[in-house]
Amino acid sequence: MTHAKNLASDVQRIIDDYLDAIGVALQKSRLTREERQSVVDNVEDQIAEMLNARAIATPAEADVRAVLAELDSPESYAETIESTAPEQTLASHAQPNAGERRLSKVAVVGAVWAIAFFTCVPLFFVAWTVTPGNEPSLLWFYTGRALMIAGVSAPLGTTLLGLIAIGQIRNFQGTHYGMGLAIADTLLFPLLAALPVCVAAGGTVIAAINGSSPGWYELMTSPTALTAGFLFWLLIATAVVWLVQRWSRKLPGAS
Amino acid sequence: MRAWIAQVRKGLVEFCILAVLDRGEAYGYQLLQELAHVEGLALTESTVYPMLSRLQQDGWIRVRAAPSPTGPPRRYYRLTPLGQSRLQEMDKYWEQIQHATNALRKGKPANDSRKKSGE
Repeated sequence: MTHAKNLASDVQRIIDDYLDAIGVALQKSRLTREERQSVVDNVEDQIAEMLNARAIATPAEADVRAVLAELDSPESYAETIESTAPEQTLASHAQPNAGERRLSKVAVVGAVWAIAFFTCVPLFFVAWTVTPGNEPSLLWFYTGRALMIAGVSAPLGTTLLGLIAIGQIRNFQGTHYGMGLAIADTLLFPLLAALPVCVAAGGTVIAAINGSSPGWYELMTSPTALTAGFLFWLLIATAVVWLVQRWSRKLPGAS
Repeated sequence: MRAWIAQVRKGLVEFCILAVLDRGEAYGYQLLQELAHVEGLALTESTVYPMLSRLQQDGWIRVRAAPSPTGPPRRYYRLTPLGQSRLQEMDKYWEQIQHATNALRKGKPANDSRKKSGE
């Protein structure tokens, strides 16, 4: 704590006690530690300026007490912080109209990137099939390579952009929409990655019930195992999507 | 009556803080002094300073610390582009609600006032 100028230690103690009491009152609020400190710093600066306005070289205890008497009680910080909560203020009513809200560009880029995965990678392999006398041009070579990089990096890129879009839609409090698309970006590749795991797990369970121990190839080619695994995955995917959608409905900007 | 006034004031705290900061950068106490002069509002530090922290948290205002001639470092606040955009929305809403309530008091349908205000 930075002290005001020219204060005796016992006088400074009175101010510190007052500021500490405000800090304690603010602990009941939703403010972070840093924000609470910011409030206390502002009050401390105000006290310093009020003492300075009294034009006394060395303020005495009586001066400090007189200044503190002009200020709100520390307890009032606990009361006002709740009464000015965002849901009760004018700003919460001033949300932009639906026409003024913007679709999250980050979520859109994530979706386009995901499409790149499903189109670019197969395209690349088709284009890469080089036959004698039919070698690709330099332009085609580099285009194909760029497409491949875009496609291969899509699982990571789309998932990350989805997460960023969710954060953006939350933080911008209603100015952006597209929560559904952002969630789809985030969950698409993790859920797809879970598919073979679920198929293997479902197949293993079916095989165990039948009393057999099939190999990996048998498991992946068995219609029963594939169906059981797919159903298992569908169940998990549905549960995950439902949970995330339910959570997202509580966020501002969800659509 | 007192309860009603308190409710109205609650809703106007953010609006008034942003309106003051729209005129330029200000430190906490300076802002408070400006707000204290607003007739009927009578905002005090226990309302204004926590609200500044909340507005900063929401990204509506930005803060910088600078040395003070009187004591501890001073925190200067200014509007961010998001804060400016929010203030414009609040201005628009405020104007809309004023027209609507004025029309209501004069016994006109609320839609008339909307048309007049270009809504």
